[in-house]
Amino acid sequence: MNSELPALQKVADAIIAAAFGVDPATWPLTELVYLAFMGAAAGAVFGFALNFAGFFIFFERRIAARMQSRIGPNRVGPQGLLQFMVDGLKCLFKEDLVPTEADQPLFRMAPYFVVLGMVLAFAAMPFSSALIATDINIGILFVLGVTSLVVIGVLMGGWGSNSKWALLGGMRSAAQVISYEIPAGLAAMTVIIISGSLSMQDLIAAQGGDGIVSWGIFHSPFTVAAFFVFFVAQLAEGNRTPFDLPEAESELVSGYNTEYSGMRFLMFFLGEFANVWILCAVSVALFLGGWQIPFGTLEDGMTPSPWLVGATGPLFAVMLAGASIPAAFIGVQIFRYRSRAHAAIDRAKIPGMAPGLTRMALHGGLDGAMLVHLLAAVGLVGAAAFQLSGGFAETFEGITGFAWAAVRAPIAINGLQFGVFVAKTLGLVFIVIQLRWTLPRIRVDQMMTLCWKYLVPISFACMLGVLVWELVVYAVPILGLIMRVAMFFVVVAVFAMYVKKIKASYDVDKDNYENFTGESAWHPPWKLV
Amino acid sequence: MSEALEPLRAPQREEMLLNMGPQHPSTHGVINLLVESDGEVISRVIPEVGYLHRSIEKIGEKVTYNGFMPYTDRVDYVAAMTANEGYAMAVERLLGVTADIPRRASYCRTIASELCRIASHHVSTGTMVMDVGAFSPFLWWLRERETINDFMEELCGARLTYNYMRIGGVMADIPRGFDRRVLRWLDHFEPIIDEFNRAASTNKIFIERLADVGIIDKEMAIAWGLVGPNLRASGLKFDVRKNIPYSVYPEFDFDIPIGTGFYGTAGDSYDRFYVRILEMKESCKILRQALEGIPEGDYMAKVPRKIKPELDEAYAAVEAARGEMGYYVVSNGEENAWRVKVRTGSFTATQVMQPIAPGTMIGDVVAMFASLDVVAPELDR
Repeated sequence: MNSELPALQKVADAIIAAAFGVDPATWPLTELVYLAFMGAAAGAVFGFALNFAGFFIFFERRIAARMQSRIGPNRVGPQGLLQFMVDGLKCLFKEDLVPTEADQPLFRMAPYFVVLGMVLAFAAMPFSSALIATDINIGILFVLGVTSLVVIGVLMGGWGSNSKWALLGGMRSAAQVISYEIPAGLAAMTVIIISGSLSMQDLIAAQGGDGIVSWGIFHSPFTVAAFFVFFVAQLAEGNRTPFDLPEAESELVSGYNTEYSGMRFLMFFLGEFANVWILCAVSVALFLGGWQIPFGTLEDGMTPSPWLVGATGPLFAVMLAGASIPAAFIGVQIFRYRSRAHAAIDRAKIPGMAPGLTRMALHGGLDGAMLVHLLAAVGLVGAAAFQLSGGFAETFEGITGFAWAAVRAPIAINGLQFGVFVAKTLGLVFIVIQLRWTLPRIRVDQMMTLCWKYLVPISFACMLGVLVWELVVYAVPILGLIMRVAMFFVVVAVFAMYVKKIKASYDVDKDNYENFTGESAWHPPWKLV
Repeated sequence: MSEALEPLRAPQREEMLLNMGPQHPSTHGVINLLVESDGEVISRVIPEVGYLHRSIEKIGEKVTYNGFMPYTDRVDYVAAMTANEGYAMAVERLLGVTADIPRRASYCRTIASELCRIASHHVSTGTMVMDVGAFSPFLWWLRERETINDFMEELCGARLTYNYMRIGGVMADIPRGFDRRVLRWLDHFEPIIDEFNRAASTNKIFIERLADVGIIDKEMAIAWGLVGPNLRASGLKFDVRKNIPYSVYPEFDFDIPIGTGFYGTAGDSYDRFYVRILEMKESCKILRQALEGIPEGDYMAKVPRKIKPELDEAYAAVEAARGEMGYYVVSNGEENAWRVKVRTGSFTATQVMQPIAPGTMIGDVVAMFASLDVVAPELDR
């Protein structure tokens, strides 16, 4: 896809041509429209990162509560869905404490590095064949590189706090991230060898063609192993259990963020949770087919066959309409509590340089968030309607001269791809949450042993194995497909065994619970109050 | 061992002095561990005790014999029943009424103590799992502990500091239907132990974290005066309930689990953890026998309301959740004791950190300290 124009640019060109009736190649204002498109894309990506981090906190807390026989947050908003917003607001109102002995510039700067590393990684995040902020030709290197920026922030915070616990946390984090970069990079090399490119879109495009068996993970036994190595290494880089040593609560109080409070603590927190998305999304992009739809082939997102558009159009419309519900809900909820929230902002004692400005920003932010969510809901429903009613779109085109037909099919395809990508990533996110609340934490030396004595050699072997296997497949092409199908069934069998084991364990405990309490062990998530 | 006992010196080059406590999340109470470490590697640990000292022994000299009973709850508020029982037994020996205690009262005491032992081991093993990073199993234990608290509330109206035992018996008989409810809960609870083992005890990472960490062999355990599960984990089969029998314990059939070093070396942190899990199962066994065989009769012996023992001394030891808990009471013929001395397991367990910690890592110190099951009020009194 690198050889052609970027997909976003194509859409922009089509809209310029349709709306203004000029040739985008010669029109002087084309660059401005491109800029607006880029700004919108950047805003969407950043907004996605923040919203994801917020909702991730909610899901993690609720799932953890489920695993621990608790209910979890259920007070703010429906089912406690807006808890993260009030928590964030609380953190904003807190005093921004800087320890007297701290290294002021380092201490103050550290959280920005963490957030910067997190947000930059979203720039090369391939949400669909067209939805990518920038498809740079070293995409995967870029993502692995900027996520390492997080460790700079952590190290700065750890050192700048002038606290021994924070220092130990920072040290652990640095050692951990630097070590696990190596197996992660080597494991990623396997899929890079297969696709022959470092660009995220090329990596994903190479995983299409034969449906689900084309995914990177099913290429050979080596990529199956590489997937697990990569996932484990990414967990370690994201400081997630069982590798949460830098912030090991029982050992280092809170690790590198011990001395942080208020807004700066919130930024560390945000970076950490958005990092979960990054680690899962990169794993999905490299090994689980990215935005490739499991049972279909959409290699070129821009020129799909008519039947595919016919099928995906209504599906996407339903997805859009469905997506508008949470957006509208949040908007309405904020609207309901608007006057109280404004009053709270007026009453609050806000520390900082310019209380007036901060207050204005908070008032504006509150109303802005409400408006954005309501508008998003209206827009999504409108888009769904357009997607469904081809006739209406044609009428609209007849009136305004805007060529909806030209963008309708790509929007549908990309929407479907986006949904598939998000669904796959959320599946991995769920596993990460489960691990977090199940596994104990490993020790520092065990972490190093695991990395250098196990993961690095395994990932090297995987890389060499993939090289050899590629040569074999080059000689006898049919072997490649046979191996892919075989690996597919092997992975499915392993997954089935995993599920079966959990089920057996669950059944024992379920019977015990039902006998003791006399009520059903099955509590649907929506029935919890 | 001798280097570990040398007085506090300034940290050497490249070493830093960490105050692990008194507000550290994993010391579980106000204890301070002065940790000298070279990066992650510990060179010395000095437990600093006394943050929770409340002069309980002195209070024992200032209040009447019966009046001291509520204070014994505060000696070990995680397992207050056994602390009650030890003091009651010591004063009974002082009065010479031990033989007059009704059997029903002894059974009530045993039921309460064993329930309390399970509740205490819930906290102990749960926090041990939590300290190595797994949070969920701890909350499962707290859920079960909540039921025990409900039982205790039925028994004596309190959920933490029970003040259930009296000199000469217990405060109240077990309520109607109590035995049935506890037996039903035991049917529910014993499979939960297996569930906990599946989630935590047999977890590879958990075993790696605890096995071969903080090994205390038999000789060392005796030399440092360890008692209870900590001593038994080192492979020595010593339990006050069996070796110095008291109350009605000889009537019950139960085993004394000892550390075998299944995953590492006998006497490592994992053994100390697993001995407690096995002890919960043994307590369930005792509870079943006690609840099914509880005899009819009084729950209180005829003891004078105003206790004024002869000029005498008495010592009584019970197997508390944290090992042998001894009360030494000296009377001078007055209404108040002349001296009350409480011997608890946590105090020696804290000191043993000095020889076992050097050379390990910060994460190990946390795991070891959790495995010794030190409870701050019992340590300082």
